[in-house]
Amino acid sequence: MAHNDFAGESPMNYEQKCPCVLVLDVSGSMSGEPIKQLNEGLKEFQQEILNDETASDRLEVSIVTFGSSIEEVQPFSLLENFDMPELQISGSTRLVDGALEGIRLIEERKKWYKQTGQTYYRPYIILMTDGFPDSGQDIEGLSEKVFEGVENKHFNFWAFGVDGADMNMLEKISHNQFKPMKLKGLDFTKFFKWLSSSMSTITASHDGDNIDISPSTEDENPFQITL
Amino acid sequence: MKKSEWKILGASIIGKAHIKSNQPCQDAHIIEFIDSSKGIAIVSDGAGSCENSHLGSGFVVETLKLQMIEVLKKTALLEKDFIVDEDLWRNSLIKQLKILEVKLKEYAIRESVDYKSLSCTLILLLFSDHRLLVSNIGDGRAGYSNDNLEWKSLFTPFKGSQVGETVFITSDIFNNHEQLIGTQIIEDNIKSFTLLSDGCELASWECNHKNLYDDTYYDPNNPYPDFFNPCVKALKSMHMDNLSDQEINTKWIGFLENGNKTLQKETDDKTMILGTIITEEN
Repeated sequence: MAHNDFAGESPMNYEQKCPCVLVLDVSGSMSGEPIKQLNEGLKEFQQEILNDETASDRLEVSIVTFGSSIEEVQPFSLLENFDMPELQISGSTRLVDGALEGIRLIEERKKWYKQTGQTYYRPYIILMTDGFPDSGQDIEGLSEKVFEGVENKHFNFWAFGVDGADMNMLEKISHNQFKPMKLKGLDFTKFFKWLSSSMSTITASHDGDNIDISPSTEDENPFQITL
Repeated sequence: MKKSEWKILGASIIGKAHIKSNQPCQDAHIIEFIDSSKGIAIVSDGAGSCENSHLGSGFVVETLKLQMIEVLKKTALLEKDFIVDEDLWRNSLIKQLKILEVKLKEYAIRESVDYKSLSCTLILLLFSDHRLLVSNIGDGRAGYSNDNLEWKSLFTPFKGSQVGETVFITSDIFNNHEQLIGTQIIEDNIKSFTLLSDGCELASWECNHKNLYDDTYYDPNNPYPDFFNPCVKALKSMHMDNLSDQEINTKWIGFLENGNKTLQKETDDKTMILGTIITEEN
């Protein structure tokens, strides 16, 4: 340091956490190439977040899969603390039960943050599906829960569809702040690259900041929309 | 004979997140000397979610400064070296904040903007070398050091459970929630003080620590001496070497932008005022 320069050390402060639960469809229609691409995309997501110092210190990820059963295949953790699990195919499409489990895990995590004196970023629930939910799944009930949660700023809920997904149903369960988006083909790698970049922006922002997480170039755009 | 004077500098710099989203800097600050040993410093941080909060913070610092100058002219506060009891300071301050609220509402009408879109926090400090009168609404931090170079916090910021949640001057605080307005009087041998928006707190304040025995987190709310003492030392050194105010301020802006890794990493707007008493032999 030069004689006439300001200098000062910073104290050791813990980072505030941003919880994000990925609710992923592993039903039979995802077998073969789709599940292979999804698993590769998840690995890409992990790597991209780990390359961002701020996001890797703040983003806590949990993964829930839904097929004929609902499984929390990865409890909340920083991405540096676990190896990405290899998702397996599991029958039908209990989408609503999967989403509700995601909401439950978020509420549980928030409770833990509060009990341990931690402030947190508004949580994200990211849902991805390629099909139609099983009959008997309570779409209306989920829709109400999502609306209430997003409206009251308890969490953000964002649904994404792959070819074959029931986009009308996704529209129904989504709050108008987060319109569902449809992926181009099976390019999960591009999607998760976009998601990691979005999470980097989100974890570097503050509550209520207007943030732009749209893909910056057509080449990076994983969605069936034109920029 | 020894002569003492305050040397004070401040800067508000736009955060990387706001540059990226084409938003203006939502922080504002102001420093006003009343005489050689007394003055006013104000910091305001506009709410990230409110599109005109940069207008709100700018209006609030300028208007409250003028109001406080009027108060000082009309009362005996100045002659008494800011000696005032806690209740009188609080009542007088709340009265001024209510006037400020009305003026901000009028400003919203004049500018044809929604009143809530002007939401911003507020930290006010009246300083002399023996006394600090403080008030705050919302978050941000303020602190001071005394003869022993001990740094102490001036208030506890109001924070919600989610990052960035706080109260603003536009919140419903004047009817039933006046407890959200902080007021404080410090009597000590004041040597330095600081006011800052929350964009500077991770870099300069002990604010998120962990109890290792039970894994809980807490906010010690301590200004970090290893941050502030070197800054004060540098400020004094620059003054002694006759650097101009503009040169010193340029260095201060550069420091807040990139002075250490934590300041570099921060993406929020950053405002910090730093003042210190410089004593010279005549």
